[in-house]
Amino acid sequence: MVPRHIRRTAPSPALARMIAIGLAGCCVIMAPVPGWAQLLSRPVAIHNARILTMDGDEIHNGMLVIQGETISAVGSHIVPPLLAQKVDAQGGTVTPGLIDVASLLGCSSPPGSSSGGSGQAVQRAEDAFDHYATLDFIEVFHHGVTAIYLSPGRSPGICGTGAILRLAPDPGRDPFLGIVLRSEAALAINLASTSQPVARLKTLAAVRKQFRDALEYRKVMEDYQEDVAEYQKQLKEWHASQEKKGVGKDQEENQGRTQESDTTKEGKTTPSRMAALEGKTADEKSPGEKKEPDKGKDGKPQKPQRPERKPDLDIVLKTLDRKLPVRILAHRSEDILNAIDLAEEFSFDWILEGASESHLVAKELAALKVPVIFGSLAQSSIRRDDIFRRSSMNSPQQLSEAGVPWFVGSGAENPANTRFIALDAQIAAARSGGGNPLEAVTARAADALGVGQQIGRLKPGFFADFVVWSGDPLDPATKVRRVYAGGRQVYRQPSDP
Amino acid sequence: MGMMIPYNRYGLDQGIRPDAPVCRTSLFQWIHWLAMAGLLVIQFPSHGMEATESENPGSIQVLQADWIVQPDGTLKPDTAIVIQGGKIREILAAADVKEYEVCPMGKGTVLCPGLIDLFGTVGAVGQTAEMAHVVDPDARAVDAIDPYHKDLVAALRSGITSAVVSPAPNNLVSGTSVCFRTLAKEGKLDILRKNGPLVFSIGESVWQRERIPTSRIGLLDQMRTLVHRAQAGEAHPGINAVFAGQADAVIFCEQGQDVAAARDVLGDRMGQFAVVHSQDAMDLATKASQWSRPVVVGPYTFSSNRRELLGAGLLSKNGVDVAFRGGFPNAPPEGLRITAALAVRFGMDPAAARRAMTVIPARVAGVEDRIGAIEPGQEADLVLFSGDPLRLDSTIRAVFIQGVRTYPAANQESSAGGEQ
Repeated sequence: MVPRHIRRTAPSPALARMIAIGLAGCCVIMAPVPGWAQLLSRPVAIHNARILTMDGDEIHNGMLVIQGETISAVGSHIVPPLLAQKVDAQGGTVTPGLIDVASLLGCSSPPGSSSGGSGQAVQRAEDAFDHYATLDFIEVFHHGVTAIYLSPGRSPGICGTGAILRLAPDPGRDPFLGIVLRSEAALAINLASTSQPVARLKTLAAVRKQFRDALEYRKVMEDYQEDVAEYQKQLKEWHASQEKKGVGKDQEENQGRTQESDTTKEGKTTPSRMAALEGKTADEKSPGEKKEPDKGKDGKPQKPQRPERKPDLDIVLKTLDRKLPVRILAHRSEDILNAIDLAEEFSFDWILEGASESHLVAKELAALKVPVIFGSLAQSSIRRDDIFRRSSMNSPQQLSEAGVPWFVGSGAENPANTRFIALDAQIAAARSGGGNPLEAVTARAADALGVGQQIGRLKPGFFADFVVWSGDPLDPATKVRRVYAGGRQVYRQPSDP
Repeated sequence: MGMMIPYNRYGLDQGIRPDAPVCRTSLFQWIHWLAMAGLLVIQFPSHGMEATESENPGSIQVLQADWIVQPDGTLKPDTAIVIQGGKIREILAAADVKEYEVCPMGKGTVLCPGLIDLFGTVGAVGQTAEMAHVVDPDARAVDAIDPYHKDLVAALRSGITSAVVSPAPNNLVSGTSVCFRTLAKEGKLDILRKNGPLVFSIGESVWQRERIPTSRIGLLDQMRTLVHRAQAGEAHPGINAVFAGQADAVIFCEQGQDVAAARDVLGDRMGQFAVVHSQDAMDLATKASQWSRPVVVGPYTFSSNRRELLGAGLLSKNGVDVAFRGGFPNAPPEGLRITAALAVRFGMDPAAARRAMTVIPARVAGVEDRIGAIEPGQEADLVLFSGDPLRLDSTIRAVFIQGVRTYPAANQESSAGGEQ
């Protein structure tokens, strides 16, 4: 059907050629301007495909059209655009690229693993990502993966922020791969479930302290803002008074004022508050004080001193403002309960990771609507010396029954595990007694990461990150024929004709 | 009722009813049962009736799934298995079973021979390594198996109906392996073969600081001496038998160089040993085609490297019979199927991969005349999957041991899940 459409709508070959030459010329001229190049790049139409949009549709003998780096059309009766490059999927299945919601791909060593302790919120996972790890990328393309949440590692306490990356090329920088879709996607915390009890207590205490520090820091910054406002107000008044009064009168008044300001100066300026934040406890500061900007000898109000910036706490503050979700890695039931307490105390949005014993606290998690991300289920075992001795094979099922939404990632323990994210999803489906594994690693994974409107589905306007499979993607004998990322073919099965 | 409590005490607390052929009620809910003791009294006679019916050697049971796994590993549609006296009597096309009362297994289901786990430590207590003697043919792995071990239950539920456990390959000759069913009735291990293949090993695990050999050189020296003596009939009778071609053996060679060393030392006797190997199977593949015995590879995990993962497929393409190790209990219970799924992802033929979990391991263990294939005369140890066993989203719907449905109990079926 589709080829006939093409024929019917295509103009005469001569005209087509002329347009092509013209367009190519335009492309050459406009190439240095990326936006233009994209607009004028040749569309690609994948036809003769069974398309699983992961948006509820299964299209037989369908066509998918790419324009630039996004999908422009998906359906069964589509007329491909003029001059589109046609790619025959040979009856294969097209799905969105798979997404690993907890990955270490591209990190030869985990970013945060070297030093322990807490307080590295400023560490960014994306900084550890190797954009030229071509062989690793080929491996994951070979299994259909095109996007990851890159974990900042798992040092105890706050380990930094994770990022969402699409394994798309940056056209000018070949073989560079990996476009950050969202930087600072989540703040990662590891409650160190695998450690000894004392280490776990210390970790929890260190994390709690950082959140308290962040609250204190917020107060300091707010005070500073108030001080600035007050300063500006007084400065205005002062300027006004300067204009009204003569110079002689001014000086008299100034002397009086200076004395007054000296007496009220102590203990309420921002630097001293910072001292409280650094050394003393929160109780030592005096909260309800009326602030008044200092004044110089001539009575001119002095600009309040800006408190020192704390980049770590700035990031923690984002979680407290609910602008940044927190991912807490906890396996043991007691650590999960601690995480629940922490989230209640500081009221941030959070996701539980690891979660080996989560079935024990499923009710609590359900009540708080906390999503759970399991690590690789293929790694967990019931061996008798297992530290998570109460981990259960059917945790996923028990969470489903309790109404806790859960997802599965590769666990961010080994970069190579990302390859088999579809198998992880299949194991999870088998253990939970249902669910579509393919949906779990595409649309649902994208939703879990909060990027469900950009990746994970085949819809117009979404990024053209997709995979052409030789058959059912969940059948182990199925091969990946082609992978597209950002509208460009990034992988092709060597034997594909 | 008296029958039931012991199982619970042994840890078989979640629906395994080894003694009940068709389970109406789950042991899982035995507390609930006790509370309704009155009901139990009513139900008990019906249980007794079913038990006698199935234990009666004359009674016939017909299982019909959408597909069965054939001895060659391929899937055959619409086939019924006629079971009598715990054995497979015949295999019929679905159209020909009209004379029997058929027990349909549901849409999309696949009946597969019970999976066989090779050289894991299922049910083993403590160490299976005995390192005092470098040549220790009298050690028996069967002595390490605890029939009440909880791993047995977990293995059974994940479709592993039989396991082969060997003494740890830390000696030149470590002793005999054992093949047993993972269903232990009343604390009695159902042993399929007590003195299974004798275990030889070459590799780093054999060198010890405390005793000779301490290096590869010493190891090969000792091995040559042993081979020489065995061929002259002067070694331990068990070892002599292996070299006289009267007994079977396996040789653990973890690395490629170990295989090469084994080949040098054993010469034309190498063909008698099943090789347990994984790391360099890819290199081995090109040279292994003359071997008559299977090669055992795995366990494969998600972090295995590409070279390892390609090994099974290449060996199989070169005409070698491949069997998998699943690694349970150190790997999850699905380990065997994960290994198979990964091998297929890396080019192994699906039929060969199904054989590598069933027929071939039975051959390695020397029990292929009893289990491992759906063939007339074989014992009816079967697993009912919701789909292809190679697909990891397929669930286990039922496990049959000698034709008796063992897992799950009938009223647990709904929670077994799977594709609807």
